[in-house]
Amino acid sequence: MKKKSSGSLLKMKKAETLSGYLFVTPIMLLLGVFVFYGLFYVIRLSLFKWNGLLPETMEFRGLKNYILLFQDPLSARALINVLLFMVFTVTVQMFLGLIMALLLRSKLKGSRFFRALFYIPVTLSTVVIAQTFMGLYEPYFGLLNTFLRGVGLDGLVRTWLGDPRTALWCIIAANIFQWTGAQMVYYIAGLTTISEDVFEAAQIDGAGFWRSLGSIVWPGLGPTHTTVIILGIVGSVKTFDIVWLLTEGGPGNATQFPATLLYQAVARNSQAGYGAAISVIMIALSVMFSAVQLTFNKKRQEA
Amino acid sequence: MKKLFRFSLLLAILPFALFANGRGEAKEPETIELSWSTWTLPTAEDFVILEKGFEALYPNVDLQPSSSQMDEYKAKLQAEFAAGSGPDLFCLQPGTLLTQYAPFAMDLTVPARDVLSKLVDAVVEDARVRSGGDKIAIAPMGSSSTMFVYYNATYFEKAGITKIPTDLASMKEAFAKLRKTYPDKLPLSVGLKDSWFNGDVFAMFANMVEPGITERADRGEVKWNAPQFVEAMSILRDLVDEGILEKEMLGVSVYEDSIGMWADGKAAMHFNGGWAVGMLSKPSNKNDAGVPYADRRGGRATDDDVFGAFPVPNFAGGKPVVLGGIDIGIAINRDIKEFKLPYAVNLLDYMLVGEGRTYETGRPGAGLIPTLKGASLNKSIYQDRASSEGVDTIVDMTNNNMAGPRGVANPAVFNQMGIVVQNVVAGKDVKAELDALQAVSEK
Repeated sequence: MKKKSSGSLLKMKKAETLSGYLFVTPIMLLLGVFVFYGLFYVIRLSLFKWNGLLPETMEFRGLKNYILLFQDPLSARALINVLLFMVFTVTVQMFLGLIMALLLRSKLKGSRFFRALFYIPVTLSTVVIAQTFMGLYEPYFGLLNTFLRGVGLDGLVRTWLGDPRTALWCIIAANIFQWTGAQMVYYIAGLTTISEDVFEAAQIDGAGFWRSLGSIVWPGLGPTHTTVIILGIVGSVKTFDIVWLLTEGGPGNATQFPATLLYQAVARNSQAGYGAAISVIMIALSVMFSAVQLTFNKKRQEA
Repeated sequence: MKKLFRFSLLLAILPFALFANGRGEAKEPETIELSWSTWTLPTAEDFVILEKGFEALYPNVDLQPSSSQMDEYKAKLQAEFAAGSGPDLFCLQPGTLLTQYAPFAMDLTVPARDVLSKLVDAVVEDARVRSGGDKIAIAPMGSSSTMFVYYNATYFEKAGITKIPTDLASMKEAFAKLRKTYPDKLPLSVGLKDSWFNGDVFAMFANMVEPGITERADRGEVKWNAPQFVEAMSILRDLVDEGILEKEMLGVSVYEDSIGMWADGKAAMHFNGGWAVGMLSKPSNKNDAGVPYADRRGGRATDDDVFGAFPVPNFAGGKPVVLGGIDIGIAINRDIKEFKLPYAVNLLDYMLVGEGRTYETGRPGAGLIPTLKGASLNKSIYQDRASSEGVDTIVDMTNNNMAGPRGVANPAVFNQMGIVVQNVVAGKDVKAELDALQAVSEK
């Protein structure tokens, strides 16, 4: 066998390296144009006052958009709303999704049917979900109030979406209904990674449902929890459609979210620069919350 | 290795090749594509008829219409014009939309001179004023005004209400009679959930106190927290305290909730703009395609239910006020290709003077008051006394008794006006809400 010289090996390595770069060039170009350029453009835009139409009307204003944003009481309202939304939707969806996954994990009769049934809301358009819940919450002839009046609980009758005290919770409930099925699927997949032998051994040792849940299932699903939480966090920060469809941020700004403020600024009020500043803060929030969760998870795994 | 290298090189070049198909030349093609974007009106269904009619007159034209909801439409215009393109023709409404997009519209004074000369002079002049005074950016397609009380005349009769309410006292009297006769029905439904509607509600109450005040505040001559606005919002608060407006209405949207409740007979009255005048027609009145002129929006009203309309009483005392003017106008893109311009002007003629206008102002559910000299609504589809008088009232108020224009130039202010209404109805402090509105106007 003829031995290759070191010169030809070097040539081959160079060609391979070049080929590698050429392979990644298209995707880097696409990413560059559609992601990184967009990102930097938004950051740059956030330093301008602009109506989003004529480029010649752009006016540099430095950090004023950020100052206005932090001074605006609506920003604080939106931040509180998104935090409440995040905590409650993620927690309740995790809990319900895990319980559903555990119940449907066993090969009970009809478990496949129920898996499909619980997953149906995930496949539905948010518009359909919103319309359904609007019919449920409608103050005069809606299902919820009609039911409450029917069973003599008139005192509980509310203007669910029109009352600043209840509107946010109504949105949270609709969102939980829509997305719990997705968490169920993640947990069903996660549970397959825990060996049946472990459950059997625990059962022999006398561990009941709650002991197994606390000592085997919960710690064994660490990576699934991380996925579910990060998706929940990012999804919460981006939340727009269900809020807009149900309340448009009202009544009286009670259910404003960062994304509804962004939409209002750009699409309704033609404040493109201000909207860009909101976008930058939203990106920062997503990155920050996700980083905290990843760090927390890493430390827990190391421990 | 060579093959691999060539393949990866090809892969790298591909994206450039995809974008390198060049721009076409601007010479006149055989088929002229004319794009036209609008919101709500004409609808996608209308466009089927309008496109067919226009293309029959001009067979070499391919009309490409697009109709979307207002928010989506604004986003579409913003994206297209910011990218340096935009449709050949686009619809605009005086107020924020016209203010924003007038720079992208051509001055129609000369190219559309013949069409404009056939329209009501005052309306054309209004188009010029709303366009900034130095040009006519829109050819006005129809006028409308707001706000009216649409009522169920059958319920009124059975409740013993013989005169339509004209002030707070007569409104309260009507409420009492309706509540007594129909304890399970709402005397009045108002869609206070919608910010676009609440902006109009704010303007209506303000103009009740002082006609033209919103227009002056919009120009910066009066502050939004001036005593007139405080009085207007206090009147609104009083209506809540009197039970005329209910806090529950904050959870009710104009479409489909409020209008649906009224058309279904669950509510005796409903607040809406003059554009809903088609609702007064009996369900059995249908056009050639079999579509009822009364756009009942899912309601179950029958010919036995007689509907009427009257202007919202002036709760501050005095005559009722309505706001409005040109509701929708068509603009031509300032950068339209030269060979397309004559066809774009022909489209204006078709929609404002010709068959398109006949269809659009007489379409099911429409409430556009025609801008053509001597033209009116089709009264033959309003056979009852209540509906016929309702139509006359709406047309008369729109043409002769306007207190001022709808909306304001600054969209953020209009949006905040709606939020003020919601918060005042919810019980928040009037002065603090108006201070917030003034702060938004200064932002």
